[in-house]
This record gives sequence, structure tokens and C-alpha cells, in this order.
Amino acid sequence: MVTESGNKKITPESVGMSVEIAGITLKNPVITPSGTCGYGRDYLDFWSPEQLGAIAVKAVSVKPRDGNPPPRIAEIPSGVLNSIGLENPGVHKFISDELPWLKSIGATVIANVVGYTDDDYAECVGILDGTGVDMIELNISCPNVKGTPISASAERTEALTKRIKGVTKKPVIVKLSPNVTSITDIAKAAEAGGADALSLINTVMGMRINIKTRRPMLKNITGGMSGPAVFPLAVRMVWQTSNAVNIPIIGGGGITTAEDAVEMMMAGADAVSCGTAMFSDPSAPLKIIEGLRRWCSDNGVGSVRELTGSVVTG
Amino acid sequence: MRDCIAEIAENRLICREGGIYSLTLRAPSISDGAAPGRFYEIRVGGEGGRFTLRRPFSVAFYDMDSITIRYNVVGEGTKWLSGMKAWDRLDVLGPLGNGWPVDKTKKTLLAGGSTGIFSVLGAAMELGSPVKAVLGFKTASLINSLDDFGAFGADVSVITDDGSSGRGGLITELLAEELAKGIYDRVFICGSTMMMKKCAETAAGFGAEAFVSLEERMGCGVGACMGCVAKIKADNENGWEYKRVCREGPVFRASEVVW
Ligand SMILES: Cc1cc2nc3c(=O)[nH]c(=O)nc-3n(C[C@H](O)[C@H](O)[C@H](O)COP(=O)(O)OP(=O)(O)OC[C@H]3O[C@@H](n4cnc5c(N)ncnc54)[C@H](O)[C@@H]3O)c2cc1C
Ligand SMILES: Cc1cc2nc3c(=O)[nH]c(=O)nc-3n(C[C@H](O)[C@H](O)[C@H](O)COP(=O)(O)O)c2cc1C
Ligand code: FES
Repeated sequence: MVTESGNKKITPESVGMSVEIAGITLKNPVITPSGTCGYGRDYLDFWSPEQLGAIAVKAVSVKPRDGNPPPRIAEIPSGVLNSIGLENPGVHKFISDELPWLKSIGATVIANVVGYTDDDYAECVGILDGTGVDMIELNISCPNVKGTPISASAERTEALTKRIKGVTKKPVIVKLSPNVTSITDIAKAAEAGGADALSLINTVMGMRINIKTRRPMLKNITGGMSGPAVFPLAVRMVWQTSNAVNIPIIGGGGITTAEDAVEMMMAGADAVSCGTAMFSDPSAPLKIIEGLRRWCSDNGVGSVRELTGSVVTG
Repeated sequence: MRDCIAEIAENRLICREGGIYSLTLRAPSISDGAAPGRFYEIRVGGEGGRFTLRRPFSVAFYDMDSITIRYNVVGEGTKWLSGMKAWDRLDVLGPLGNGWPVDKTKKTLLAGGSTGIFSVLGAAMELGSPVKAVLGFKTASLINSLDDFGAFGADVSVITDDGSSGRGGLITELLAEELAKGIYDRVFICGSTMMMKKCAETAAGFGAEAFVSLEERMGCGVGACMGCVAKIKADNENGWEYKRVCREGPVFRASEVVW
């Protein structure tokens, strides 16, 4: 369908798809979030990282990590519970084995960083600072490691963000956890610490029990929920956060269709991420990009940027 | 690997007691790259339904444009699958993973237990006659697919846990007797974890090279999520590392598995 906006005809091809996050232009607003797409090679039969707005690669830490014992995956109604526990080959191996290829194909790369301590984060980001990664994403919110995640404390979030901003010139995204009393307090703390953007939500703490064996379905006992089950929670948190801060937001959690992406952007997201959806449909990111073009042209929207925060309340 | 919409040619109950179905799916080039021990992931519940994860199944056998899997109804997803009819369509992803190292120059013995027999059935097809298969079932009423092994030229011996058909006892007994003939280079083993562990020990005792097909809960099925890992021996501090059942597996050398 062709609609008119002003005097110009809007076709799917003419819809403005690029968005800007912290000074970096993404060719479209669709990102695959960390932990759901490896380092970009596993879905090559379906999409290639440079076709996306950006790829957020699996969390990296200074040293390799084994992660949690299996089983690490359980199903929940309309979603997934995982306890991977940040298994990764370490930042040096990422830089030597994965990053050169990602850059050679022209992908925009978000490095998701994790550590046990603030020193770990600073060291890892320091190592990444001299590389071709486009943005740093601080994963302060993973529920799958022992102890309270940093994202549960506004003070610690602000302090870590400030410290990391001093270590790198690259844009810093802080990835927020939904497992907090007030997401806006943490969002404001990240902004105060100098975060260039926020991404939310990470997975929601959950648990399932096999009633036949009376054992938890995950060896780690608890895990993080993702997929359609968490979508309304994510929309609510993105909306509240976008009202509380003035930095760009990458919104995700349960997005499976272009309509979901539109909804998330209306709630206040500047870009969206779609991860668990690929477990059902490996082509989901591309379908969402195409679907966004079509939805915008069908609805007289000339650029996806117009969607951000366009929800009408009151 | 491809994601295709396949038509159901047949979804037939082949063992009432066991709730075991034979599902044949047809689509152009669906079997491209198929090999025994590789697997497909079937989307259950339809689009937008409550099931997010695809269900992994070994390919039992295949031809130019069709694949057959055999599955046991164990939970919600397989129950939904069992309600599908001929001409219905299913979303199928695959083939995935690494299968059995089929090599006709190596004398190979097949060992399957319960639903594990379907993965080795594919190996029987590729190895061709004469191939020996030892199969274990809990009880006589759960025995199935013997005709298919026969059709591929396999010579089958069956053992049941309770002796209700053929011999009574454990599959390791049959395996040991067969291996004692001293003619086998390798064994392909698929069944429960305990069965595979015991069979692998038996094979090691006879100096035969053993391979097993591991099962683990899967997220993506394509290697992206690290959800499906198993402990595999490695030359590092731990002496092991996690490998992905969906990518490096599901077939591993038994001597490398940390049970
Ligand atoms: C590589 C591989 C090959 C397999 N081949 C066969 C086969 O040829 N025939 C056959 O009958 N079964 C096979 N299985 C097991 C089959 O995948 C499960 O029985 C099936 O997923 C159960 O789904 P459900 O919804 O009925 O069970 P539910 O218990 O309701 O499923 C809940 C979740 O757990 C997962 N799950 C449950 N049991 C298993 C299991 N044993 N292994 C892995 N995931 C599981 C499901 O996929 C789903 O995500 C194979 C598994 C793997 C990993
Ligand atoms: C298997 C799996 C692994 C994940 N690993 C990470 C990770 O390493 N770092 C991180 O910040 N988030 C991780 N996440 C969270 C996702 O990036 C995302 O925030 C969450 O899944 C919600 O989005 P979705 O519903 O679109 O998947 C992981 C999620 C899943 C399902
Ligand atoms: S299921 Fe995702 S890596 Fe194997």
C-alpha cells in the first residue's frame, strides 16, 4: 500500500529506517541482543550481522568462563527460562577470532561486557577500547551469576558507569535489569554516571519445577525469563524509563513481530532488540525489518524515528 | 541448514503402548544435507502459540524430498504433534548437528535403546547390508521399527528388560556377546544416558571405538545460545570443556564424554 504524508508518497522502500544511538548511526532499528546470537556466525543461513542495525555479541569477560552446568534451558508458556551463566571464550579470543570478521562484513558491533568486580569491567572495557567495536554495553544485570547484580543498586550503577566512561571513548550503553524495585532510579543513576544509552530489559528472574521428579528444571535452580511472556513488562519499563531519562533507549524483551517493534518504539525505544524470537523463527530479525517498512508505509509514517515515544496517554 | 514448511505425508501411530509415531515430511530439498544422527527441529503449536522452543528429533531415514522421524509422545509438544494429520503443514529447521561417522570400511555395530533406536536406524540405512543391530526395550509391547531395520538389511537382536520378548536382561549383555566375536571396529550407541554410559564402557572393554548421541535441552538449536552444552574432555586446566550438543554434537566419541 502507498500512503501520503504531506505531498510525498511513502512506499516501504522509502521509509527512513536509520536511527541514531549515542552518535552511531544504525541502518535500521533492529538489534539482536547479547547471548541469543553468539558472535554472529550461527544464523548465517538466515541473516548476516551487517543486515541488522547492530549485533550485540555474547557477553565477554577478561578471562574465559565456563558458565553454569546443564540443563540450562527450560520452556515457559510463551517464553524461555535460561541459566547459561555467561559462558564465553574471553575478550582476547573475541578480539582475535570473531571481531575481525564482524568488522570485515560491515557489521555494527556492540560488545556486551561482564565482570565479577568493577575492576574486571574496567579492565575488559580498557582492552576493547582499542578495537573496532562500535559500542560497549555494560551487562550489570545478569541474574545468572552469584551475588546481587550491580543493577540492583543505583549508587553502584552510577559509580561503575562513571568509571567505565573514564576508561573508553566509545559510547557506553548500560543494560538494565527488570529485577529491581524501581527501574527509573537505576536508569537515572546510569544517566548521571554518563551513560550514552540504555538497553532494557535483561531477563526476568524465574524458576520452574518438574513436578514428577520434584527437581528444578534448571540445574542452576533459577534462571532468566525471555520471550513473548515478558513483552508487556518490557513495554511498561521502557515507557517509564523513557519518561525518566534523556538518553536513547534500546528496547527489547519478547519482541517477535514488526507490530511488537512498533509498540516498543511507541513506548519510547529508539531501537529494538529481538532475541528469543529467533529460537522459534531464525529469520525473525529480517522479517521485523521488512515488516517495519511495510507497517510504516501502510500507516503514513515516513521514518521509524517518528515512532519513538509516540504513545498517546491522557 | 534450512527452515522450510513441509507437508505431512504420514503421521502414524506405530506403537500404541509406547505412544510412538512415525512422521514423514515432504518438501523440496528437505533432506539436503541429511545424514544419520543429524537432527531436525520442528516448530510445535503453530505460530504465536504458547510453545517458544522447537522440538529436536533425529532423522530416522530419508529420501530425495522427504524425511521420516519417529517420536515418542512424552509431553505437551509431542502431544500436539501427534494430533497433526496428513496434508497439514509443519515448520521444520534442519538438518542440524553432526551425525554418526558412517564409514563402510569400518565394521560397525549398532546399539539402540527405546527412542534411541531411531537415530541408529538412519545409520543402518546408510551402512547397508550386512549390519548388525542390538536393540533394547523395556517390555515386549514397546518393541517397534524392527521391520524397518530389516528392510535396510540389518540383522537385529532384541533384548527386553523384563524378558517378555526375546531375551530378558540388559542390552550390555547382547553388546558384549556381539563384541566378543572380535569383528567390530566401532559401535554407534543411542539411548538413555545410563544405557549409553554402560554400553560405552562395554565397548571400551573390547577395544572397540564407541560413539554416542547425546541429548540436552535446546534453545536455538543452531549453536548461538550455549544452551545445550555437554561436558567433553579437553586439554586444559579443568580437563574438560563445554561443547554444544546442537553444533559439535549430538554425536560424540564416547571416550571424550565426561559422564
Ligand atoms: C538431538 C536430539 C535428538 C532427538 N531425537 C529424538 C527422536 O528421534 N525421537 C524422539 O522421540 N525423541 C527424540 N529426542 C527427544 C525429543 O526432543 C523430546 O522428547 C521432545 O523435545 C519432547 O517435547 P515435549 O514438548 O513433548 O516434552 P516436554 O517435556 O513438554 O518439553 C518441554 C521442553 O523440554 C524439551 N525436552 C523434553 N525432553 C527432552 C529430551 N529428552 N531431550 C531434549 N529436550 C527435551 C522440549 O524440547 C521442550 O523444550 C531427541 C532429542 C535431541 C536433543
Ligand atoms: C540464552 C540467552 C542468553 C543470554 N545471554 C545474555 C548475555 O550474555 N548478556 C546479556 O546482557 N543478556 C543476555 N541475555 C538477555 C537478552 O540479551 C535479552 O535481553 C533478553 O533475552 C530479552 O529479550 P528477548 O525476549 O528478545 O530475548 C540472554 C538471553 C537468552 C535467552
Ligand atoms: S541450542 Fe543454542 S547453542 Fe545449542
